[in-house]
Amino acid sequence: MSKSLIQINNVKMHYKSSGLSLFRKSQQTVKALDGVTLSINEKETLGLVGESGSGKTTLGRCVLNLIKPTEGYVSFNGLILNELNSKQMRSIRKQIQIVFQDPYASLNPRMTCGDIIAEPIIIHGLIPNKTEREHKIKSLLETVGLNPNIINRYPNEFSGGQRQRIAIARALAINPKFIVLDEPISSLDVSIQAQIINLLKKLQRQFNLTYLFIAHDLSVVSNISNRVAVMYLGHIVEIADTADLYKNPKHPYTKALISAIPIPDPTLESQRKRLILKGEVPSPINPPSGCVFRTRCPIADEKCSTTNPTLKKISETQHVSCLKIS
Amino acid sequence: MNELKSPLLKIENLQTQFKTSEGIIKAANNVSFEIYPGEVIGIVGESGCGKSVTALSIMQLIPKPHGEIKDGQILYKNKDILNLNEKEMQKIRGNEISIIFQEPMTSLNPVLTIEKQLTEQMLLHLGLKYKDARLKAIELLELVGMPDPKSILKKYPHNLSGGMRQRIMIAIAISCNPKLIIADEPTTSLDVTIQAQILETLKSICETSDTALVLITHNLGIIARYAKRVIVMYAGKIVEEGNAVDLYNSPKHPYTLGLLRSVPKLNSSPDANLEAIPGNPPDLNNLPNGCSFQPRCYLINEKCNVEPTITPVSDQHRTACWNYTELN
Ligand SMILES: Nc1ncnc2c1ncn2[C@@H]1O[C@H](COP(=O)(O)OP(=O)(O)OP(=O)(O)O)[C@@H](O)[C@H]1O
Ligand SMILES: Nc1ncnc2c1ncn2[C@@H]1O[C@H](COP(=O)(O)OP(=O)(O)OP(=O)(O)O)[C@@H](O)[C@H]1O
Ligand SMILES: [Mg+2]
Ligand SMILES: [Mg+2]
Repeated sequence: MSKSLIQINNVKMHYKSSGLSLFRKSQQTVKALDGVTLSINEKETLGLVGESGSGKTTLGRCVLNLIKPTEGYVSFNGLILNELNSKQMRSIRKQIQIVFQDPYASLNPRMTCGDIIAEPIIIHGLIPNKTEREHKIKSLLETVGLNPNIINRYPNEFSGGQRQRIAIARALAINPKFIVLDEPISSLDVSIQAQIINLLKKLQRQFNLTYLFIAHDLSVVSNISNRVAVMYLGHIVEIADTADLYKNPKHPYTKALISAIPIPDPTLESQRKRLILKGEVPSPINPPSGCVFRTRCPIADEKCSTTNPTLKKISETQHVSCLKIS
Repeated sequence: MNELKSPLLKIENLQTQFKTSEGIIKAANNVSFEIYPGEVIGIVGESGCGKSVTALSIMQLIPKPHGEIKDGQILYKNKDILNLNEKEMQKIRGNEISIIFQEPMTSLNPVLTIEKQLTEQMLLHLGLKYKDARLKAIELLELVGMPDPKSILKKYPHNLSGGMRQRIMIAIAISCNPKLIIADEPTTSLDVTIQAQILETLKSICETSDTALVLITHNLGIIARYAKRVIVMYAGKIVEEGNAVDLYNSPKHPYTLGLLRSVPKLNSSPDANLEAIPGNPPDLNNLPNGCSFQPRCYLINEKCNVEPTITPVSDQHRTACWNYTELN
């Protein structure tokens, strides 16, 4: 069993948002995360899937300490993030990086590609010598499969896939241990997605990186992750080794997610039985009582509306949060 | 393709162009295909390959003046609808041929109730009295699986979720019993479990009413599930067409093969690399001479400097590649 790098312990993130109603000032609470516990092991890729608004980005931001959880804590290498002084925090910030979904929005259009990659190096005061720094940037560009000559060009001269490579080079610039990849390929073309996935895998081996890989699409996640956590309305409903999750999903939501992915094979598809969920995803402002999935669950009963399920270990590698599974 | 029936829609050598700051681009470049009554046909290809432009050309919704249908024919029931004036075309749109767009928020009017938007076309095309149009609207909402249709009628688009708005779009699209629905990425912006709901609804509605469906998407899985016939586009052209099983099992164009190999499989191992297509998506302002796929292709030779025309490889299968016999 490998060593745990990140511990997320009963993390809740309840955003207070003032309602937009014209007539009264109402305060609403968005339960973006409602008691998430999981750990990320060194050198592994943990995949995090769930539908829009389930809290994936919020969890990533908590792990990066960009937001403080309302309750619970995150620890990195045994150090609890909320309790660190600024010097300790700076040393941890050097070890964690993020790559965002949209490479069009996340790269400053007025900075050259070289300056974009240099930014974190300069912020962390890592390579003061300009020539050495340029050398490092060029080698980073090569590492991510770009021509080092593009160092003086601007983001708008590049395609989406090339921009995402620049964003990855920037994340790598300070030799982090851990990278949050927040839907890094969702905005890319199918043929380019595979290039980026392959690049991320290569870099992980080369630099012993640990990834939290966030996505909507289970098929992409399965291809890069060692373990997968499935989120629904601020809760982890199932977490398991990738192969177990696909071969033997336990939670009804996981089953529905897997069944909803059409397989690119017309013969297989025509023989496949699909589990189509009814209804809409409830709002995190007013989530259902008991199990949050029960309003769309095909096997829910009365107990599910009154009792909160917790993540239970059902095998060495699989945890499920469902009252109907023992 | 289908000898028994005559095509509902026949597109011949469609050429649609746009004037851009960098010159004229051929967004649909000699596109020809047929759609038969009641069939589901898929158009797949990556961003910018001309899927939406082809759909908009059929509906004659290409933004003028910088966009223009330069050449070609679009025969609906054997009549060239490119010759119709705007007023005649309005009788076709929504009535004979409907289109559903990716983002329902931009195609629904934010200041009108669902009732107004859903009855509008029925009042226009079917000549119904308001009371009857309203009753039919309620039926349509039930058909697309909306809970509590009467209260939905009073709502505005922003009161509804993305999935519900897309259901409304489907209800509007089918309201006048069209013979053909073009669905342009109808579920791309939605969550996977909602995507599955919507597509199943659309499919069963088309089946029961014998409506033909053109499903446009970049998702090869969706096409595999729903389409019987598939068209693959690259850089404004159709590069391959065939029935779904043949095309997926034995693709005859290196781009199709590359696409199929680059999709991650559900059961693939994290240690194995995906087979990516090398290079970058094509730039329509800057296409190579000859075959547009050349810079990314592993099969190239001198022949590829000449533009391949799409030719049959078997009864129902066409490809635009000189070297397809060498494909493995
Ligand atoms: N700063 C904020 N203030 C108030 N609510 C917020 C804030 N950020 C996120 N939320 C809400 O928290 C919930 C979870 O959002 P989050 O962005 O984490 O979801 P996600 O799983 O990343 O979704 P997506 O797949 O769309 O990116 C959503 O309901 C969102 O509207
Ligand atoms: N209104 C327009 N003005 C100028 N160029 C346009 C316009 N609409 C489309 N184009 C260009 O035509 C080409 C084809 O675009 P189209 O929208 O058909 O692509 P698509 O295959 O639908 O892609 P996507 O998957 O991103 O929707 C693109 O290069 C696009 O930039
Ligand atoms: Mg997010
Ligand atoms: Mg489009």
